[in-house]
Amino acid sequence: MSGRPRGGTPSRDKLLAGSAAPDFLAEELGGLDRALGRRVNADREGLEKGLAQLVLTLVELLRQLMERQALRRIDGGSLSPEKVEQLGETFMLLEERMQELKDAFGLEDEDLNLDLGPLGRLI
Amino acid sequence: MTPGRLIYVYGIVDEAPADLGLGLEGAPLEAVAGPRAVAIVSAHERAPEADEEALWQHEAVVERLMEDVVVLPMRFGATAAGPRQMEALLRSREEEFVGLLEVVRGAVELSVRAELPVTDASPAAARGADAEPSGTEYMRDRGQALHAAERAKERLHGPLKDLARRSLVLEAVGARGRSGAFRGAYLVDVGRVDAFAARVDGLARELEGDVSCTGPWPPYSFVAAAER
Amino acid sequence: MNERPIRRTHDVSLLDLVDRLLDGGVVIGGDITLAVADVDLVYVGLRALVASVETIERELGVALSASGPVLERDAL
Repeated sequence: MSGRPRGGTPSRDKLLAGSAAPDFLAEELGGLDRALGRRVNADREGLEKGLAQLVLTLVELLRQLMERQALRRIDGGSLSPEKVEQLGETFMLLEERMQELKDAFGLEDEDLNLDLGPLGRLI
Repeated sequence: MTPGRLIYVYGIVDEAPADLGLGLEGAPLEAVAGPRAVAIVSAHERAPEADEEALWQHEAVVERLMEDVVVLPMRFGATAAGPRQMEALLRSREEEFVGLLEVVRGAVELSVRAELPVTDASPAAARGADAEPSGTEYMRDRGQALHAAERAKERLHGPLKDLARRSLVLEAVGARGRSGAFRGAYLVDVGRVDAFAARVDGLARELEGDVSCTGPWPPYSFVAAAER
Repeated sequence: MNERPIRRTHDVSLLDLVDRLLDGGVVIGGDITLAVADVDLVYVGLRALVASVETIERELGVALSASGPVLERDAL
């Protein structure tokens, strides 16, 4: 890369602009430890909660994608007011159901933004 | 190259540089030549483990190559069974590699991450927690929230996109409460890197958001075959 | 939640390094060696799912849901 002595090791500080240590990266950096080989204890309870987390994150992802699709259709003006009302009620109902499921498994909103380690966040 | 050993691949280059040096686990770098592209590799008993050191070492090899030649960086862990398989790969994907070498020639990748403030002027906030919205009101609130987030991100992405050869928005969806999360990758001419960095600093101040820009990186995000 | 204090400027560099080396770059062969990080294959599949769903949604305008009791296919 330009500007460095030939054959030297790359600098591990590649910050070019902006803030060096933004707060919003705290969670992702926590996930790095897991990603880079420091193994996490997989006990049974953790495993079950992990499975619920996985499933509910998928559901949440689909819910968000469907909602965005519906919003685009609404923007496009192709839906009747009755349909818009029906969609809104459906999504609200879905949101309520999601909350019930989250409560049942003791999961918060942040838990559903599933950190896939090196693959980034799912949502 | 010893037959029967695993070939670990660092990158595809237009031509092999004069002196290659060492790669992971101190293994010597070697070139496997195809008709119009060359793979830079090293031979190992088994696939190297992905710890922080190994990742930086892979990166070091790619960056050193970039000082002399045009490089398509490999994903970490890319291996071929042997030199003949590698040659076959170079032949079968020759058009793709030659095309990509021209796409990235003379450019580097810059990464931008940001958390932007999204003004939530929706009626939901005004309505208060107790009132149950109608379906229509709910959809309108969600629409406004989505548009506000998209506008916020475009204020950052728009100017930066103009300074880049190519760009990718890698993350624009946010969970509730993180609708201002942004992650973008930009393929920038080497000569424009300073201007790009200055623009990021300016935008960070202007938008009052948390912004980080790292680089220059080899163009990892612009050589992956699948559209991201 | 596992939040470690951010002290070094190269933490965000490490994050971007990992993103690039494990999620970008030229891919050869169908399978990434399982020595890559401590990531379940399920997660790798999930990421592909997300990418494909968003691509479909964006480029084809195809309804994401099959017909169901409330969200009818023709409604979306």
